[in-house]
Amino acid sequence: MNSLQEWLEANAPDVLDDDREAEGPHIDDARFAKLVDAAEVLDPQELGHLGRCGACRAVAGSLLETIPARPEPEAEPWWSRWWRPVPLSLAAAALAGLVFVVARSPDDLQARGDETRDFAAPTVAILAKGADGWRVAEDGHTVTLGARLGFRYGNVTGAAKTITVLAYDGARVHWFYPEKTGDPAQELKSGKDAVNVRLPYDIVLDAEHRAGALTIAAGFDVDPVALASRLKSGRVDDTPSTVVRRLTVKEATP
Amino acid sequence: MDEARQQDLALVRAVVEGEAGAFGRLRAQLEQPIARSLDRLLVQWREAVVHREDLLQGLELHLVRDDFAVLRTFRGDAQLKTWIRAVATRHFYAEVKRIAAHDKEERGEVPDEQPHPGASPEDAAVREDLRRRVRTVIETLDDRDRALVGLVFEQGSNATAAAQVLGLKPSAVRMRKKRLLERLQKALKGVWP
Repeated sequence: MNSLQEWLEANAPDVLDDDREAEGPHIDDARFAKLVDAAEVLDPQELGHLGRCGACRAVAGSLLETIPARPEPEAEPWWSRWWRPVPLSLAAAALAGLVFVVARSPDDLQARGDETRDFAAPTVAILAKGADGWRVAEDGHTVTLGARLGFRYGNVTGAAKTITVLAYDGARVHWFYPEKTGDPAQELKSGKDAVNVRLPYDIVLDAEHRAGALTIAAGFDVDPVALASRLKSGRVDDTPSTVVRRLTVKEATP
Repeated sequence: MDEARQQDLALVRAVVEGEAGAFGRLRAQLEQPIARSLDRLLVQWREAVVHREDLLQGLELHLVRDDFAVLRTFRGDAQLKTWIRAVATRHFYAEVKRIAAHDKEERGEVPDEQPHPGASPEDAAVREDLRRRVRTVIETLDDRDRALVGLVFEQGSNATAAAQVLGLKPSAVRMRKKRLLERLQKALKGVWP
């Protein structure tokens, strides 16, 4: 007999018991297309319907097929890391920080001229979805618990290889890209297809988040752990290589 | 609205207004996503494979029927090729289910209760017990997990894709999937071979 997962894959239509009529109307085809293209999320009623309607699941499955899988980070056993020489890591981190500061200081970038910054440097926009739809989140913007955050970048020249997006709410660091500490940063596309690329999934400000200040940092080619550390200590500034937005999260009104 | 969406809308407008050559351009642009949406279903509904060409022609009729009533509903909220995949899949799904049910009736079988070929009465009883136990677990799932079962196990969606519509992180999809399999293993203790 195959594995339980394989059995479930083969028998899912049967065990989901779709013969019983699904509640509510079908999810509109245009809505499905928008879910995929505009990275929207099913609402609770649609979720309930999807779990009970084979036709809507077939449509969803067909559209979701066009979204590539993000490679799952390989699990590394803890004992393969713990003994690594800590002092060496600290020295390397300090050196990396020094190189970063020297290479990316505002003076240096100014010296290269505006043209270099505008056309060669990668860009990232932090988007927030509120009652009035998606908008670019600027410093000082207020978002509501339950809102969605999305991220778009441009990297036509391929100047950056990875992006890290983290947030800090004063109590804990929220890992957006990558999803947890120890995972590698998100790889970026480059070339003509990388004019305005949406990162593969959005972030919902769910129960893991709380009302109050939320600082979001999106850094190109940075070590995620180092960025988390800078974010926690408040030593993260808005620079061409790291976009920082300080938002306020408020409770959702009933 | 971006340039690509405007081009999509312009093409659809040209088709419904009867511009010469417009339908040919539409067909050329959408041939691949339409064929893919059908072939995906035919993997599951093998009875309908012999009707593939008829099904493709049937979709064209579906799109042009009643003065392009279906095509006129395209509003440019999404890419045309994404929208057509949704429309085509729903149309094909209804058709292949109808074909499968018709074939079974012609063979004198009760639809959806086809016995497993070569199964002994004991095998059939074990298989039914397995299904019943899994169904019992599935019935206790909340809507999100139930939808996840449908997308990940039935439709084969990857964690990134499922996460996008379910409003979860891909890691949360993987975690929920793992927990569900653990629950099922527990529920099937002594039954799972």
